[in-house]
Amino acid sequence: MRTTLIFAAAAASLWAANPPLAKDSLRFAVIGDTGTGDQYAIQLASRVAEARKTFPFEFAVMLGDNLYGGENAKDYEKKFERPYKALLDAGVKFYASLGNHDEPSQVNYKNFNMNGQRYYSFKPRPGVRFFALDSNYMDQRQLSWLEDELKASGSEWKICFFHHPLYSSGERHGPSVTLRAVLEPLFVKYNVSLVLQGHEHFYERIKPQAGITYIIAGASAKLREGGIAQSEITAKGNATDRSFILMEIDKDELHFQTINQDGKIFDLGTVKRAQELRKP
Amino acid sequence: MRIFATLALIAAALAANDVKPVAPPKEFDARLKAYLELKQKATKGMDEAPVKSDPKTIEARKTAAAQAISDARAATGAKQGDLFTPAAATQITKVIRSEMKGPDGAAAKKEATAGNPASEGTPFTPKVNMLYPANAPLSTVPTTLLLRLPQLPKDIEYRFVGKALILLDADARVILDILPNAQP
Repeated sequence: MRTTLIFAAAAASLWAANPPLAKDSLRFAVIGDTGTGDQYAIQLASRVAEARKTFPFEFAVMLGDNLYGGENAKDYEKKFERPYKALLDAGVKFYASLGNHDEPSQVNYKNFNMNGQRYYSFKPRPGVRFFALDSNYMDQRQLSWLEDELKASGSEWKICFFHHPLYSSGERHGPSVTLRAVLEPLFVKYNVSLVLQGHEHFYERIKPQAGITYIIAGASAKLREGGIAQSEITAKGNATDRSFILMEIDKDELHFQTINQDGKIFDLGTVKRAQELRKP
Repeated sequence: MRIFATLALIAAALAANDVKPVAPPKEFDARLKAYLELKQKATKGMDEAPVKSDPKTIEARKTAAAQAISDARAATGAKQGDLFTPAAATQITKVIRSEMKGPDGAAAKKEATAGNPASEGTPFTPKVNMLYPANAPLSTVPTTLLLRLPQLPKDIEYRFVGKALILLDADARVILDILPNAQP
């Protein structure tokens, strides 16, 4: 049975005080819908930088809406380079995906590491591959690319990230049902373990669906009015705090902790690698 | 529960391999090809932004390309219906309406409002050859619909603005054509 297990930790503070920080583990941060450049975005970005002092992550993935409004040179500075200066100066790499407020020209921006592509993959460590998708426009060209990449990847850990959530209890947007219909069968077929998405300006971890863990983390700057509707698919939701996630992959487990603007952890747990669970 | 039933119907349709793009009228493809040639000519000599650009380079290239394309199209008298020829307009409208009235119609309609400038941000009236406003989001085109519409060359996209479908040069952000009332 293909099941991704989540261990909702009862002793949250214990884990926070003792993050695994395992030798040779892969550590990264997740931020979404960051691009306002306002005081809230700056405060959250400071928290991310602060967290790196105790949890030294190598890179961050961005879940789209990287720049709201205009996209002139000054906007890049105000909405990204200034808030995340400390991390950029420290050599942290950012890998972006495009949201519905982003112009495709962002693909050429050096600090987003998209290498001119609206969808791409990267392998930060043997056995771990990330797939950044452009959920704004899932045409046949991109679907074929995704299937080819997943099939050829050979990595045990496959993690996808993009903007529009496939599952969501959001009162405003809700799930992208037609997108889910084409993507989820591929995720299942090729053992994707984790899917990270933004668009909704809140945090929602969905109960595993078809054995896959879906997390919405689009509250790194804005909060959504209306928030999260009561739903049986929600494992953990938070529509009142801005937030980001820290993740650590250690062999067959991925540990995560979700932190708010005040530095408090409000969700944490462990995701088991999907493929591992399929072994007899 | 209704959403899961909808999803099951969509998945069934996809599994049955029913979702294929319609073949467009030859004239539609020919006009798109002509546009790409015009674009290539208009932007000839302009450096592509390297894949590791700074924001100033990106802005300069984007602005110059948009201006050159707009000017070149204006010089040829570009107008509504040049790309969405009557035959293409009829075909595409039919596909959109059948999708939005079909079993997954409710989900498709809802998704088409996401990011649509008519329902999010500042509404605007699209005009041929205008630049897509920098502060306007881009609408979702429901995936199951997108897979049925005639395929477009790279960097040219369908988007909704209100009920109209537009053809957008996503690279230069120039609106190439408009199909009013494409949605029911």
